[in-house]
Amino acid sequence: MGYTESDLEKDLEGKEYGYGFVSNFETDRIEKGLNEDVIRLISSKREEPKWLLEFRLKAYRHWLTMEEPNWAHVKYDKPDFQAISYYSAPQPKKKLDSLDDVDPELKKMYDKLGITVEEQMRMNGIAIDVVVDSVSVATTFKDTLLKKGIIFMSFSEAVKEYPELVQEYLGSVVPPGDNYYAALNSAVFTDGSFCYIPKGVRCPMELSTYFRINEAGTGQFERTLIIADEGSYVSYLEGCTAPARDENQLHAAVVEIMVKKEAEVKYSTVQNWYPGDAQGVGGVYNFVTKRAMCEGYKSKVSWTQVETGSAITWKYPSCVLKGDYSEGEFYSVAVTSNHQMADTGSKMIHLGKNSKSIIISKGISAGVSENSYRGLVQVHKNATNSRNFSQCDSLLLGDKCGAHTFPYIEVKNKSSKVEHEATTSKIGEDQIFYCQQRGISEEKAISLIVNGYAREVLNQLPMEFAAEAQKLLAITLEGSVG
Amino acid sequence: MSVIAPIKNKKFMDAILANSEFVSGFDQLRSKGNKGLESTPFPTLRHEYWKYTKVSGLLNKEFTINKIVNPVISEETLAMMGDNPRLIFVNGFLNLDLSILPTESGISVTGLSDLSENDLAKFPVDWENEQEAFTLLNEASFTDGIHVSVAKNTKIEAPLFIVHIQNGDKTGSANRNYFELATGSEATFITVFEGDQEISFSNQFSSYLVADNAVLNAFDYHQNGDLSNLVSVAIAHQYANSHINLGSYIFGGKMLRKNIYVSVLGTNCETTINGAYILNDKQTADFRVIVDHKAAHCNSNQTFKGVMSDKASGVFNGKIYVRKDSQLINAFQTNRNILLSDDANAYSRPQLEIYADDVKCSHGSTIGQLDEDALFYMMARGIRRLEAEKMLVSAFVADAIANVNYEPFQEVIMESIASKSAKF
Repeated sequence: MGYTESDLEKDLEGKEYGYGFVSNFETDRIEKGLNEDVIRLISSKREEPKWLLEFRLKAYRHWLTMEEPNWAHVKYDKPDFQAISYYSAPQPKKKLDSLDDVDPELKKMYDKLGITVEEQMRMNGIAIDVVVDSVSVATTFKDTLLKKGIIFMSFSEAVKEYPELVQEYLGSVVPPGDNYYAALNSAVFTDGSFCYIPKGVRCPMELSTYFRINEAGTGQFERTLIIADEGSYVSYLEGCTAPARDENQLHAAVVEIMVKKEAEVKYSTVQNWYPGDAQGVGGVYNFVTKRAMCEGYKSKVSWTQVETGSAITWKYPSCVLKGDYSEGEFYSVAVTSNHQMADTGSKMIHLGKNSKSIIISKGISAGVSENSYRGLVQVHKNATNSRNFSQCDSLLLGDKCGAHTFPYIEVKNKSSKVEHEATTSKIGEDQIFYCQQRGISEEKAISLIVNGYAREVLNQLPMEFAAEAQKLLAITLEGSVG
Repeated sequence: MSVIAPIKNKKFMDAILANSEFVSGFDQLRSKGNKGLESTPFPTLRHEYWKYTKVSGLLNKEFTINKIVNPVISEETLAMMGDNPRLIFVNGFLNLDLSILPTESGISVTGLSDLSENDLAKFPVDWENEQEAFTLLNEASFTDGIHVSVAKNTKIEAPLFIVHIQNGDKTGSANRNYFELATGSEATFITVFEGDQEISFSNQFSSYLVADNAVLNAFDYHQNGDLSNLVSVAIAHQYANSHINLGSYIFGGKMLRKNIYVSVLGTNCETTINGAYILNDKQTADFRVIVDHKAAHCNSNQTFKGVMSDKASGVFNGKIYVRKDSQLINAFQTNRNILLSDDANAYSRPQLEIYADDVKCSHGSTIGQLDEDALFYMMARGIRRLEAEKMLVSAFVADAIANVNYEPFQEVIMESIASKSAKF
């Protein structure tokens, strides 16, 4: 008897997170709970200007008036916002100039993940803004970038060094009161990344940030702000892995991208937060607001995501296509196994004439997981000649999981074309048979088919990242096949 | 007296029970509806399934029941019906003088006044306890209804027509009709809606029980008056080896909302639900279609086509459920729309919710225009643009009416498509 699909299912059911470990380094954290004083404390610890404190307080007051939404196709225990510590930073040590100064514990952690900072630097020429528990500890290649006029630094540094830029754009794409978790993030965000690409500059390397929740019982509230000025280009990479914890951890990040005339931003994510164990205990709540504003003529944004982790994923990277001829892209592979639940997709808001967008979403469900695609394509009255194509496929591995598709399509003019198609199926026995006939073993056939199924999205990832994404897919699915 | 909608005063129930014109003997159902209304508000645009259709204007109007009118049945409908049996409802009341009861053996029609609540207990009344205010309103305030049953192993050749005529200003009507197809039986029902050019509101409920090996064909043809509003719910349960074939074709009416729920409870079933809506002016057609696969080895197909011009809007909100253990399901869903003006809207939400793995399910949705190349091709061959557009619209809608099994009716729909597209 060869390896059958039911064996794969069994393996997936028993599959546990391979990256579960805890690094011990001292952290500086404040007491659990949330109120205006906590926000003032965060703000003062980060030595923030007054306007930012006002921004936080305004968001917090708005947040108090909001109710936690429950329309998503996920079930979870609502986080207790008073049981979270809203600030946790590695002990402030001396300012770091080079990688040698990075905490050895921290370095070891990256070694375990197989993504050492040095290796990344040496082999790929990637500048990494390492974020561990909300505070940037190492920013590499900063000087190289500065020569080109590119600003790439932690959010807190940017607030100090370029306050006028931050003030102008913070909250311009995702307003503080946009949604429940964006409001919470606006009130309590501790750090994140800031990136500015000046006019006409093509960023020479992939910018990258690693997120990682380490401290138990802390939520992580990143704030990423990317501004691509006229005619510029940047490719931004974001990847995350989190160690195993039994306690549910909340991750409510906000990513804002402002894309000016003829600029292009490519934002790639590999998400592998701790998904909980095989019984569905623990795991990260990943409630993220990601939005890009294609403001000008021919602005372009491309979201690519590979989602393998998190107990609950709830995010919709969106494009507001305001400029004429602007373009939005969304490529996603979402894998859920065990008790994971994902409700993810994209929003394409067409406001500008001749704007176009594409959505390619591939869902893979295994175990007793629930995987939903939810997306909105909205073509407004003045967005004449707009074009959208959406394709959402779901692959079911096992008869206890669910795959769902909830598209919303709204068109309000007569010259736009919108197409949506979706399929749900399992790996065909004829496909496996076809492979076996040609001497490919069943296990290899399954891995081949899953890989081919996700290929369209993986191809969109930058070279350096694609390898890691494939590794992640392999760990989540194919690893268990072999 | 004002009773059908909305219910603003507490004395609503007393008024209904005191009025002898309402069919009596359904106290339990009426009080259930009335009670439900206390806790179920009427939908607003914030309601997930009513996002695109506004009913606040409708709710602020008062509608009265008016039994005594001299209705006119349109020539078109008369011609289509021929000598076939028919049940004519005028403002929500069955008019036996105008009706022709079926004479074929195996089919019987009973008025609700001759039945008790127990007789209808076996019929489905809701899907997964989904309660909408309009359905509850129907339960509380229905004026009349029929029960049609088809005997075991009989095929009824002649289609049974059910014609709803709405006449007079601000009239309301609410009906509950029950259809029962026994094992191995087959029947066709064609429901026609028409009326004058006055404001009206019709609230319809139909329940279908389709036993093993039975075949149900049921089509709705809407030529409602330009100012009429309609809310309708159709619920069907089908059992092993049965076929359900439904169609909804909308040409007239101001606001039409149709909820169609089909629960597939037996294996080897076939389910087809088609719809077409050709809208102009400020018309709204809003579909909520649910196919719930609760048994294995079944096929289902949905094809909905919309053509919207002027300020019309078309809404399709469909969902396929495939429950755990409902393996080997093939379920498909298509919604295609053509927008002919910049003020027209199309909203499409084809959804899949799947909990079984050995299935083939897909949906597709498009919103676009008539093909310029095709128009040019025809115009190059001497066909005027208007004529060419008409032909393209007819061709576009054609596969949504392919399942109609009564030819004269199919012809009437084709003519309506042509005459409606001439107005664009």
